[in-house]
Amino acid sequence: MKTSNIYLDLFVVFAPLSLISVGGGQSVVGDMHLQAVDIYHWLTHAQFIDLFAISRAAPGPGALLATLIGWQVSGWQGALVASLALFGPSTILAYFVTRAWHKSHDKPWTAIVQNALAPLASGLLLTSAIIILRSTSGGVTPWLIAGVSAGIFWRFKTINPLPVLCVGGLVLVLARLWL
Amino acid sequence: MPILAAMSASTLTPTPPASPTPAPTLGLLFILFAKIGATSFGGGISGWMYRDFVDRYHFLTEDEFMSALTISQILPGPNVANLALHIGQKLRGGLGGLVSVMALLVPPMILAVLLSIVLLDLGSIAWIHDFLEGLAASAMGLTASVGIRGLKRSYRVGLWPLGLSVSVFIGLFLLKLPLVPVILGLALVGLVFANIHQKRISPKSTKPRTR
Repeated sequence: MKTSNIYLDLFVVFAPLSLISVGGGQSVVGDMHLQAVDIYHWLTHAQFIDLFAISRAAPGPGALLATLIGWQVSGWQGALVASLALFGPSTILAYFVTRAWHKSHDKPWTAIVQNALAPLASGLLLTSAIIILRSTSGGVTPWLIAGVSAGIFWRFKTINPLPVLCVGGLVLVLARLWL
Repeated sequence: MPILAAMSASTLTPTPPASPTPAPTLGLLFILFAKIGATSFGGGISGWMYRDFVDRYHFLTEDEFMSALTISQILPGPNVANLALHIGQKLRGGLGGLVSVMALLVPPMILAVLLSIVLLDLGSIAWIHDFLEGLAASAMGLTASVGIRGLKRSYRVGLWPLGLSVSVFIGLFLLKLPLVPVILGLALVGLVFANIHQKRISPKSTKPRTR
């Protein structure tokens, strides 16, 4: 499979996923697995799982999984091609949609649209938090960490999240050591 | 005396409500998004953006941010990239959007690769895995806190926005329906309610469209 057009392969795999993936990129992880492991044999299943875990823990969007796969396949160039393929097409589409949205910004109906769409965002945020918490490896501790963190972020609006997150990480390490 | 009166009046005047402040420079946009991109361990990026762009700098109102977030989720592609584009484009035009997306993505791309080089060697050490998972759990607390704040705000408009939020949860989590049809369908329902609401609060401007 590893022919001279490996970059073309990467592009052909990830560019369609860019326009298919909807709702946080999690929806295409299954398809990435299929392509990278079963069809192109770029990675083993275990490698894929490791990269997936890293993409979730690393800063930035989870879709950086594509960057990591590209990097595994052929170094920095691979990472660049995979990233451009995954983020490029959707960003170009979003550019035009967003431009149309902003052009109509001061029309009276935008207030109505905002009132209609804002509650959906609340539902989406809470749902995604719950889905991801449920995917953690068992136990009530991650839920407690999330609950206490939510309380802290609720109470202190402009606190720097990073120290809080690190404490959350430490708490889980200690909890797993002692419990 | 008038000076004193003016002074006391100015000190008594509450700070104006969070209305959008002048747009940031491209440099500040870059710094804000790069910081979020490079430090948002464990995910929850929309929560980070909310803190900076709504709570800290007031570049966007809460409603602007939340509707932008919904649009970003409906559009294909990684939604935080779409959200960064939307915010950057709103504040500084097309170039602002491009700068924002690049700043959000490039630093964590480099970090993720470096992290994978290190972690693939250390991956068998259990506590690293636990630490990252605790980090992610805490980040989900950040995400949830923005969601709860949105619920509280919606409730001031009425009960129907709360019903919409709950419907998203029921549709996506309990019924496991696909995201796009659920959100588009509920957006239509929301438009109906929002339209009625708008007519109720401003009965004179019943013609929402002037064209």
